[in-house]
Formats: sequence, C-alpha cells, structure tokens
Amino acid sequence: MISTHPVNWKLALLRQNPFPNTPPRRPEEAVWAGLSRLKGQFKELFIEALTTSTTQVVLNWGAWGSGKTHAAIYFGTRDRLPQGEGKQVKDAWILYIRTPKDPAQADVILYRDVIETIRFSRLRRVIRDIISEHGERTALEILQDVVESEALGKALWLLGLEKKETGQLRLLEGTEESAEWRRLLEAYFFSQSTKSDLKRLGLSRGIDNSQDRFRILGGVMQCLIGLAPTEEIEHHSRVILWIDEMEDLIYFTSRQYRPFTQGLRDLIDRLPAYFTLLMNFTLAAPEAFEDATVVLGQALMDRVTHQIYFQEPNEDEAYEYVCDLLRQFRTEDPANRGLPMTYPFSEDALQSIITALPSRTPRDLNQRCGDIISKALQRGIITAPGEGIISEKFVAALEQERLELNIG
Amino acid sequence: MRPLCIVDTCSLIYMSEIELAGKSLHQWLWAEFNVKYSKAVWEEINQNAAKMGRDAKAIKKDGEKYVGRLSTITSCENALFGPPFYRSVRTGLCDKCRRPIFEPRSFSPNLASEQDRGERHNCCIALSAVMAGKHRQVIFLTDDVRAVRDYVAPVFETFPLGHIWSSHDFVLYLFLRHRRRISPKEAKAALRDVNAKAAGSGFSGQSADAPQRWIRKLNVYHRKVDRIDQVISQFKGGC
Repeated sequence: MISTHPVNWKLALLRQNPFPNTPPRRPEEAVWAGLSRLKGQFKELFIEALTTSTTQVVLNWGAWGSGKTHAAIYFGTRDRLPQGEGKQVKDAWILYIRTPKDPAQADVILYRDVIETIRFSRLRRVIRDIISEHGERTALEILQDVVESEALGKALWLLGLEKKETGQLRLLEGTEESAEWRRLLEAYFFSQSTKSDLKRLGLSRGIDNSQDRFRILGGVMQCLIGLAPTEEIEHHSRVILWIDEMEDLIYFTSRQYRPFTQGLRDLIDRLPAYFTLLMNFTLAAPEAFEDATVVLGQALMDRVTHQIYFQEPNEDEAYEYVCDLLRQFRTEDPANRGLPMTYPFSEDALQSIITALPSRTPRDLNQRCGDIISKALQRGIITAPGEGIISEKFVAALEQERLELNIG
Repeated sequence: MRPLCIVDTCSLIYMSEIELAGKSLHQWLWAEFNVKYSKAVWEEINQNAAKMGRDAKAIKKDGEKYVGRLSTITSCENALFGPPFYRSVRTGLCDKCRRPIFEPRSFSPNLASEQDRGERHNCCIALSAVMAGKHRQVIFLTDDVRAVRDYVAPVFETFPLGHIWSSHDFVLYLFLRHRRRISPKEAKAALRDVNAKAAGSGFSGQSADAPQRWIRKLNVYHRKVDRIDQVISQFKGGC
C-alpha cells in the first residue's frame, strides 16, 4: 500500500501550487509566465490603446484553456498595461464582464454588469466632475447630445447632483442626506423605478428597451473617456471593455441575438475614439474566423480591427512556460542547492511530460504538472526541502497508472 | 403520398415557437410529412407540453391521432435491442490528428427503463412501417445525440429503413423545397433558433467544448444553405 504524505509545496521549494486549474479571480493573483509572443501582442495592442485615439475591436480566440480568461484577469489593472513613450491617455478604465448566461435578458444583464463593474458611486463622481468643469447648463446639453435623448441625457446629468432638504439640486457631495436620492437614481438606472420615482426625479420616461440601454452605456463610456476634443490625448481616458465567453452567443435565438449584437455594434459606432472592446472567443483553428462570423454576425466581424490568436505553445515554449511559472513561486533558488531550474522535476522528466501531452494549452500543462507534483509529494518522493526529485521514471509510472485507469 | 416522418419529443420541443415564412415549424412538419410517433413519445409530449409554448395547444389537441399503434412493440423492442447489439463508443483520441476514435462495443440496454423508450419504440414503428410496405423509407427525426448513438444509429446502420434527420436537416429540407418562399437569411435564422434551443437544452451541465461543437454545427448548416442556394439559383427554368 502507498503511504500518503501531506502536500507541502514548500518541500518542492514553492510557496504554493503554481499550477491552478482555474483562472485567478483577481488581477493581483494572476501571474504571467512565458508565452512572450502572446504577451508581446498585447503589449503592442495596449501601447496603441494608450498613445492613440483609435477605437479597437479585438477578437481574442483560441482553444479552451489557452489562457484567454487569464489574460483578461491579468491585464485587469492599469499598472499591468505597458508604459508608452510620449503623450498618452491620463487613465484607463478596465471593465471585465462575461457574456450573459440568460439569453432572454442578455442586454439587461450586460448593461447591469457594465454599470456595476464601473460602480455606481464612481460613475456619479465622474458626472459630477463633468458638471463641475462645464457648468450645470452646458453639461446637461452635452450629455443630452451624447446620448441623443433629452430624457436619458438629463438622467445621466442627475447622477452628478444631489437633492438638498429644501428640494434644490446641488453638486454631489455624497452626504447621508442624499441616500434617498441615490436610491431613486439606482432604481432609475436599473429600470426599477415607479411612476412616482420618475416624477420625483423630474424625468419623463425610464430606460425602456435595449436601444435605450446601449445608448446609456455609450453615454456612460463617453463620460469615462472624457469630452475634450479628440486630438487631446492627455485629456482622455481609455475604456477597455473585455467581454469573456462570447462563444455563448450560440445559445441565443435570433430574437435574442439581434438586439445584443446590434447593441454592441452601436456601442462601437458611438465611441469612435478611446474605446477598446476585447471579445474572448473559444474556438480552435482552422475554421475559427468563419465560425466566429456565424456567431457574431458579419456586421460585428467587419468592425474587428485586431485579432489575437492564443496559439498552443510548442514544446520549447511549454518548457519555458513551466520554468517561468515555477520561478515566480520559488521560496528559494534551486541552483543554491545544485538543483535544476525545473525543480521539483528533473529536466528530462519535465521534457517527457511536455512531449507526452496530446495538447499543450496552459490549462493542460497546469493540470498535468500540478497533478504530478502533488502525487510526488503525497508519495514521499520529496521528503524535505530540495530532497528528492521527480524523475522521468516516476513520470512514466504515473502515466502508466493513468492509462490503466483510462482517465485524462 | 407524403413520406413518413417518425419524430421524437426533443425535436418537437426544439422546433417549437419557431416561424419560417409565416408558418411554425410544427405546421410545416405536419404539412410536409405523414407524422407518426410511438405511444411512449406521445406520453413524453404530454409531460413536456409546457416546453412547446404556443405550439403545445395544437399538438395536445390532435396529437393522439399520430400515435403509431403496434401490438407487438415489446417483443419488437426486445428483438431489436437484444443481444448481440452493438453501439459505437468513443475510445480515445487519435495521437496524430486528435480526432475522436469510435469503436463498436457490445451494449445491453436496460429495456425496462423508461429512459430512451420513446426512441426505441420509434425505431420499432420505423421497422414495422417499412416491413409492412406501406412506406418504403422513413425519415427518423431526432435531436437526441445520445439516443442516436445508443439506439437509432445502430439500428439504421443495419436495417435500411431510411435516414436520420435532426431539426437542422428539416429546416434545410424546407429551404430546398420552398426556396421561392424562404430566403437564405430566413433559413439561417431558423437554423440559429433550432441550434440555440438544442444547445441550450443542457446549458448548465454541458462540457466546456459544447459551445464550439454547436458553433461548428451551425456553421456547417449555414454553408449548406449557401450551397443549396448557389446550386438552385443556376436552374433557370427549374430542375
């Protein structure tokens, strides 16, 4: 009988398991290992995003487990974006959402998720700053122009204001007395307001349909971007909207699919500058582009400006990926103990793992490497920090066990 | 005489509430074919009528007329699916091209189980119809991929009874037959609808590569629409 030891990653000179099976939840938890070609593509894309006004529509595609969601999480904070030279935008709003899972309410969910990702209170402060900069009257006119609707523009404008006890409107300060005002606005923007709420807000109508929701989204994003003349890069922010799992549009019937894709097209057309839309799409080569067209529709595909292919790493890239990942989780440099950088694997063992894998997506590599190290720790192959190593023979034995169990 | 179409519950669900050229797919089905199903399917229809939306009313009202009666259905089922019975099973992936490898494996279905009884009894109806000579071939309409793998395909591979269609094939047939009334765009929209319904039926519990498979399927059928359109448009005075 095989004796089982606890899985202590520190024995493998690692802080924790570097090979997770699921993408991280927060950007701070995400590390980028190897895959320098792919990272370079994103660097180029984001440098263009930060130093030019060009609106970008990006199709990220690759097999399941190729790292699309991981990339979206990794680049989820401003400090992960590259530093460009010369003039660049003052800030970047990075918004990550997933394709709605309820096709019947897709546009409602997308709208709600975007607003919630921005955060209602932050949005109110952005509008307040616009009013503060342009004055109440001019700001109202600008916002009504942006959303092409007097009622919807006024609603956006109200976000930057709050109601005094006397009933007068003043610039938002965020004091306790405005809690009821905030409730009214939230109810309005999430289409929960009653007739009486509308009356109290002084608005003639609510956000009634898909077209309204995408108009509001376009207006909100324009406010985040800024309202200065397009050529003044430093006076703008870039909005980066990352939509994951776009392949789920296959679950949408024509009636559900049309308003959703039409809305995305409208959003792109309404934001001709400082907007980046990244769409993650799980598709394997070689018919990917044609398949994506079937799902997204020709009109949306015609607006795609960049494509990033999450290509499966070759053997050398996979080797580099694993080594880099191990390096980033080290408790100490294995070279200090005369061990290879592949530790807890011997170099031959790691090579044999990679060669034997039928597909080498980061998910496949993580799964297999994590599994083998866990088993090595459980079975006492590594007994103390840096004592014992995963050999090619051990890997072969595990592979044999796996085949006998007919798994993987 | 219209050809015989033996239809399964899931196809009736996936085709429900979808319109093409002013008619629902259910109306088209009954207009184009002599529709039949087993008593087991009729019972499933009644249990799942709510999933057929506005098409439920008509089928519940007249549906019993289309039940294929077969007094020997139990013995037919025992014979058809009794040993030796083989089905095709995925045994692995090709090392080179990574496509799945299928091999025939002996299969002993639990015939006492109600699961898949509708498909099994529909197979009996198909066999009986062809043997009786009333219908020389049948269309077997089902979207249940697992039931096709386990029961329908093995039967149709051995017994030359006709063709197995999915709802996608039915839409494609309508486009071919009524091309003057149905534009390629409308056919593609109907295909998107049946595809979405079929794909979404197991939405929460499907494998990670399920969307890709459904995308590929939709793409394949969209290309078929284009091909049919391209060929037929070359026939100036009809074919």
